[in-house]
Amino acid sequence: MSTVIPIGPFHPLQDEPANFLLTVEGEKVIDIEANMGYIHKGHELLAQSKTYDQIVIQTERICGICSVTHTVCFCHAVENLLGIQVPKRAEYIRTILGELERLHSHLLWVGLAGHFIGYNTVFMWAWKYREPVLDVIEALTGNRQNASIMKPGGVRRDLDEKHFPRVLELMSTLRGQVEMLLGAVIDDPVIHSRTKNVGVLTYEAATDWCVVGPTARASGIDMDIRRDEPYGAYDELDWEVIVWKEGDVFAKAAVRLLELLESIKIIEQCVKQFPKGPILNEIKQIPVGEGIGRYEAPRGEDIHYVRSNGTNMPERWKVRAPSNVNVPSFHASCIGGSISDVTITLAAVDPCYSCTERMAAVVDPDSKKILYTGNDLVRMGQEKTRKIARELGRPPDLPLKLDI
Amino acid sequence: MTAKEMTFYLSETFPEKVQIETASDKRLYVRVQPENLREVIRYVFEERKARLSTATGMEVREGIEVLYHFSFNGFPLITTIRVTTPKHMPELDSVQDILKGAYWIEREIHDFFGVVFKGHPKLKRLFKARNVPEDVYPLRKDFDLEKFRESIGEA
Repeated sequence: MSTVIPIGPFHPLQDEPANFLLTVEGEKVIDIEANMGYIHKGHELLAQSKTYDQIVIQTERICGICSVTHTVCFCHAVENLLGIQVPKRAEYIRTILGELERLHSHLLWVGLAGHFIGYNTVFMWAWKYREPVLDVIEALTGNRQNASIMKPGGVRRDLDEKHFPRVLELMSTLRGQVEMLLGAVIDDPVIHSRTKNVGVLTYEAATDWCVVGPTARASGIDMDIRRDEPYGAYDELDWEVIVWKEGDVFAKAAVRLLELLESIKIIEQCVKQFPKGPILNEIKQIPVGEGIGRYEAPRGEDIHYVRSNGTNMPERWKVRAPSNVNVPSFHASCIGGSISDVTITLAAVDPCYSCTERMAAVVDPDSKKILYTGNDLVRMGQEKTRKIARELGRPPDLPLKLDI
Repeated sequence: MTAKEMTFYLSETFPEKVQIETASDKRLYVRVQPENLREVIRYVFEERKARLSTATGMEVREGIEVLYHFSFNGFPLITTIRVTTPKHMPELDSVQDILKGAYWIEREIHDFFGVVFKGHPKLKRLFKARNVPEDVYPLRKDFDLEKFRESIGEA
């Protein structure tokens, strides 16, 4: 007998509302279907009646985390249309802010992933380490999120170099903290047995579904827009692209944790060799034409397409965020796994979503009776970890009674 | 791979079928006819190891235009394949059996422009809001937002 489990539209796993229908037989998932569009905001239609400078401000509102990502990506598209270069200092500012954003986004994910498999200590640590990063962004730009600092052709405001010692200090403490977190995750046998060979996305499936970012890099695809189409200051800096071959949840977590260390390296170098000079290459007129901009968001390749008709408003502006190609890969990674692994598999691609916890339940299709609620699903995931910990003779990280 | 090499490969393999429009060193735009679309995309994806970044739909004077943007891992090139279909009967061949990455984006273009992708197994609503009727396509030029809001009683 097969049962259909709806996850969402509102679910603790997802920050944005989305509805996944899992068809299961016993504990095994045999089919998955996604229903999206609950928060489709019509940005693309709205932008057709906004000027290019206004769209930058609008672009920041696409995502709660990727406020630098989308604005820089839109600027890249317009700069590609015009064929202009951005001043060096502006490129460094974009790089520093982009990497700070990657740091806080990856730390947020590590914390959530820890929570879903029942490691609430990891959740507490990661979110504690994330907070100073946001404070530094606030010191540099005046806002924790949505700094409104980007502009096609450069940046609107300069960074004040008096804050740089504070950035360097944070980077050196954060490096120790991330290394500790990395050691805790990589050496823990319970996390190994809970995440290794779970939700595997093979190299072939990853190629076929065209996934991007850490999801692709954990499946052995060597891609990174920062290296492939260098923008910002990346071609002048010393850093590495992290690629793992396994494709399971563990590899995705490891890739993100190792990327944190690379981001720290990048920020330190940027701050040390921060160039002097202008910050804006003023744009006078936008000609008829089309441009494509790309950016390596924390979750993968972000791509914007802009078509101009010669006026100050674009004819068409298309946004494709990385989750749009990463989420459909659930078709390949979830099917065949068990329900208690679905939560972490869905979370492992870091679907870019706003945290609302409300409704997810396992319903018997015949009687329409609720079998499990959303909390039950998270609890099942956490209990599995606890069981493994007991078998391995490890002290369980969890309190006996869960309060979720 | 540079835009020059890609231009060479495409015009060697499909001398009649592919029309090179504009090429800078990092961006290449080519136009194909709807009947050759599958063939060209199969070649670009399987032989040239490209990755479908996304597809863009938009309404132009000639009809509905769909642009398939292909990226290459390791190179800064984006090859865009442009295809136009008439507005009164927008139909294209689905490519989701060649590359699964087209599964969602075809549904999205169907939502907002009404392009029917022949051969897509589940061409149903993905992103369009539930209160927008099936035959209303919000990103087409003739979509009237005020009229639509009146029709759903939100004006």
